[in-house]
Amino acid sequence: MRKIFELSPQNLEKLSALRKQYPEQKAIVLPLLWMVQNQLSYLSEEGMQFIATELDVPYMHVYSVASFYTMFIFEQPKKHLIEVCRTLSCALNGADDVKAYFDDKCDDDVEVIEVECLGACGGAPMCAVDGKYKESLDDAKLEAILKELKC
Amino acid sequence: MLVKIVSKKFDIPNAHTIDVALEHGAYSALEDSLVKEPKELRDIIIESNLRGKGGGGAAAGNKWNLAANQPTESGTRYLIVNADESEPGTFKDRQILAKDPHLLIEGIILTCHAIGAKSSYIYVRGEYEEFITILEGAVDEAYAKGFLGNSKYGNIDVVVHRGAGAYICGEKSALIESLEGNRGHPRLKPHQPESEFYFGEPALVNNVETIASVPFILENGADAYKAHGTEKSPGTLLFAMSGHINNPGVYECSFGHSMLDFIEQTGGGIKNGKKLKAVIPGGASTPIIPAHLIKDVMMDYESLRSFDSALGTGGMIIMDEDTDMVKALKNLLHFYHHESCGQCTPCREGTSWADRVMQKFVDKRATYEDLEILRSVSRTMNGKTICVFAPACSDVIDGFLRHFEDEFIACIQEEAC
Amino acid sequence: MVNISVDNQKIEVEENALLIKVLQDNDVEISHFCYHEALGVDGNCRMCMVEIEGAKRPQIACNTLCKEGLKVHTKSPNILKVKQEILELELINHPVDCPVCDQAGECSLQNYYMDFGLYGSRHSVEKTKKAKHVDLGSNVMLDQERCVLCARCTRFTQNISKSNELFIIGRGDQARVSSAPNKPLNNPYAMNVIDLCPVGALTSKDFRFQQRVWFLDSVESICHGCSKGCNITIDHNTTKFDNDRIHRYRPRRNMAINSYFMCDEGRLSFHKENKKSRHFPFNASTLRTLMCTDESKKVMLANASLSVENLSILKLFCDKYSIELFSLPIVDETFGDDWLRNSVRSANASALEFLEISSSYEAFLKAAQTSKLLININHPLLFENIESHAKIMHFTTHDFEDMGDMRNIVSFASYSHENGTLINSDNIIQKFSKSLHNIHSENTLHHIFTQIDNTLYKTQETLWSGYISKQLGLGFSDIQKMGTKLKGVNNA
Ligand SMILES: Cc1cc2nc3c(=O)[nH]c(=O)nc-3n(C[C@H](O)[C@H](O)[C@H](O)COP(=O)(O)O)c2cc1C
Ligand code: SF4
Ligand code: SF4
Ligand code: SF4
Ligand code: FES
Ligand code: FES
Repeated sequence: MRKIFELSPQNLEKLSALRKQYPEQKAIVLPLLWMVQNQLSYLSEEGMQFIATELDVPYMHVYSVASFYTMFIFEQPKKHLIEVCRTLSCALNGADDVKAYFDDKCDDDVEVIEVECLGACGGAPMCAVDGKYKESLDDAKLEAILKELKC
Repeated sequence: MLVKIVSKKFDIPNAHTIDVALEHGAYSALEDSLVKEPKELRDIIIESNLRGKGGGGAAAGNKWNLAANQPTESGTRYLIVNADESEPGTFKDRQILAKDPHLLIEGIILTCHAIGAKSSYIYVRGEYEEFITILEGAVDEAYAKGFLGNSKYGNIDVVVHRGAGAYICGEKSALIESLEGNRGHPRLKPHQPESEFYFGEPALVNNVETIASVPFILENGADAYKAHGTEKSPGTLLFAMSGHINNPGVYECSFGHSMLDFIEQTGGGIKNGKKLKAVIPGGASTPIIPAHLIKDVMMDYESLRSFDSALGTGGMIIMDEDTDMVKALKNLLHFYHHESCGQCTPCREGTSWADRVMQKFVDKRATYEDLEILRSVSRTMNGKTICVFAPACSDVIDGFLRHFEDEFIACIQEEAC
Repeated sequence: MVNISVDNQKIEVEENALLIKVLQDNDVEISHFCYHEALGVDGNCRMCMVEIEGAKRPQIACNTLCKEGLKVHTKSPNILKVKQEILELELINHPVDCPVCDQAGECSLQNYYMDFGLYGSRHSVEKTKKAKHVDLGSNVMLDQERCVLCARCTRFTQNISKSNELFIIGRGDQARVSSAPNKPLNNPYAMNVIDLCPVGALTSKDFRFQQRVWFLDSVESICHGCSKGCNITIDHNTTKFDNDRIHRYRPRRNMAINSYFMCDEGRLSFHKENKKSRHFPFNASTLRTLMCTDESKKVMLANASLSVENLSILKLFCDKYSIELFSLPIVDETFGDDWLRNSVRSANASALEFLEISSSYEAFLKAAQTSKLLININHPLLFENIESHAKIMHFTTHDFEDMGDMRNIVSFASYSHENGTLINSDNIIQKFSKSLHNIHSENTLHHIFTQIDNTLYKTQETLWSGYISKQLGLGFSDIQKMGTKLKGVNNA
């Protein structure tokens, strides 16, 4: 038997609030994708099927939409995620070194990826650790991040 | 040079909370403006010459009129606030979201009144999770204090909508597609001037900063706004500096000042005492300008046009003398390659081809033919696509080749590169 | 109406008509991938660029509306250059495996490549890798590398079949067509995406690698799968050591009937058409003795998919020799839907009324019980489950189970071997043409029955002028290319 996805009670409540906020139900595909991803830490087939059923849209619509956006993931992620900005302002300020540093020091619990400009160019070089922005990175800050992640 | 209109409360601790914000004058434009006829408000905006601050610089008043006058059977209209802010080099809107969200909400209430909208969506890029939390907190407070929802301020609803990682969703029609629950594909151009449409109803899309400028204008009048800046570029912009600059950051500045002065005085000059090589003046999509021209550049729409570039978002990326222009262009083309929505052929294939050709330059495998290919791909991407993403990419390539062709040729000849 | 000019030719068109449609209707060649009349405008391929006087940039014809004075150039050097460059981009990630591609010969990409003279690829970097052999289900194979992402197939499943199997996933140059895991293409019209695909990205498992299309002969015909009468093209040919065979059916545009489409069952029905029965020759004098001289009661049951001409000759024959003629249309309620497929599976059921042939099942059963001879003209009922003590004479196009000693069997040509007309469920009469020429083509029903009684109308022309035109109230030459709607039967 396939696992059936269910929303947590809090999320169920949020869902009924969401339904009232948009003129058409289809509009909440994105909020629901977020909800499922936050609950499961990734988007499972069952989770997307749940959205399709709830909103009465085809499953492939949900998947097609989800696959368009880079922040959605379809497999169980590692424990931590470090997104190193690679775009110009950060590159000019040593993004490569930041990426190399994490690649070198992080253990298998941490996924280190490059992402495009995170809108923090004034704090270049920067990265996001589990979604939290860490800007104006220097040696001390990099070390602090590692400590935080206990690598 | 520096002014505080939109950034008035940026330095006040906790101005994102409603009590502090109210202490410093938040929502003070509402009482007087909401008794005015919508048309009167629109006329003030037209009079002020307010230009959109999302990059295009379109006259805000015209767009408001289009949205207000677009026929609709149901009478429903929407205001959609563009907080997708993903243009590399741009990080101004997040200052408003995080430091003075109530200014944005006040602007939303006023704009809704002016165009006859009751619902408003703020589409924020997904990565701004922390700022979304702050913004949502502010929206909740505004509901609790009776500024939003059932209130004497016109029953305006505000919904914060989180994007999920797609630069193209900053393009207004792609944003609406995304807000309708679809992939962020830009729509085909309409056959006549008209508003945007959200689920078939008229909608206005404005940038965060545009909307945040509204309370000041409506409260103080068009002339007070036009007192800043130039005739054609009135008012202020949250200019940003990043790259090789001593004091990176966001600074509100009136239009029309010398870019070099701004870089040197406000920005504190180039890092490590180096010399300036070039500036990308208004977010990655605006063509690069070499140092020798910068001294004549004024920070307004018209001046930047005259240098074959654009003011864009006002997010300047500053490059010092050691910057490798081949690598810089490769860096940007990687961005375009990654962010193309992939809908139309010239862009989907062109951005990827250009990026791969640039890799050859970086690897010193490029030939003169590759330079020719780069040029022709750029030509094919220009003016032949659904949205202006591809033309912007094309402008970027052309800018680098116009001013720094020698570095590309040096690469081909395997000299210093 | 407004006046526009296309390549300096004046054309009068409806105001706001879609330019690309106007060009197509006026036989002005306009390259395109994504636009399709049935699917609407998507504007993604940018191949339909035209030059419009006064416009700064080239415009896509599929999103341009015709206004008074519009001046369009489709072949100016500027526009050709633009198209060439877009095509070059279209091709950079294309595998260019035309030699092994089934679409070769009918591929828009290949055609434009030739038209715009784009020889010598400038591609100098690695191509994007995608999946080359994706089995989408319903006989449809996808090669993602050949796909130009025109979104025709996805729009078909989303807006036309509404079955929603195909979507574009991913973004940018990683975008590709896909179905969901465990949810293959599964709708009665799925294979239409193969025709819609302008390139060789979607191919038919059923047709793949069978034939190069340029070796095929095409004939216009009508699907006999149900009473809808979808217009088709029959592609057939004769190869060494083999009979003339059909290789595929393709839908043919008829806006009044099937627009551009057909159902998969109809599409694949050619397999049955190829499985023609063994050849059972006839002896006219034996048949004459059997059917014309004996005084005892005789009943004939004719398949309601027979052409108007064949039903007419049977009707005249039966009337003359006092044979009770019935035709029972085959009805399958599970087949019909609210689009093309009609539950009445007999292609010519509507003709029965015009030809005054009884379709009463009860009357037939009653007659059959007392009959001494049952003459079955290809009707499945009599191949299987009718209880009767009468002698049965079979005229058949196909072998059937339990053919006994086969002494009572005569084979005749099935529909692809002769010309004819059919009246569809909307009373539209349409012509179909002979496509196959082989050993079976000689023995048409018409031929057999005029051999039995050579006073009957010998040719289809005389049959029409002497009989059919009176029954239908129109002459053969009145039938339009896309069919003609008949006025209902006059019950006076
Ligand atoms: C590729 C692309 C990306 C864009 N990104 C943004 C963005 O992140 N934020 C924004 O406000 N406008 C962006 N725009 C401009 C919007 O399409 C739109 O013009 C703007 O939101 C209108 O607001 P304004 O008139 O107040 O500037 C983008 C445009 C394009 C073509
Ligand atoms: S130009 Fe690029 S981003 Fe814009 S619609 Fe076309 S493919 Fe998408
Ligand atoms: S598979 Fe064919 S029809 Fe479908 S998008 Fe690709 S090219 Fe178009
Ligand atoms: S709907 Fe009927 S006529 Fe049309 S293709 Fe299918 S079987 Fe043939
Ligand atoms: S370039 Fe790194 S945050 Fe903008
Ligand atoms: S047919 Fe016009 S853009 Fe594809």
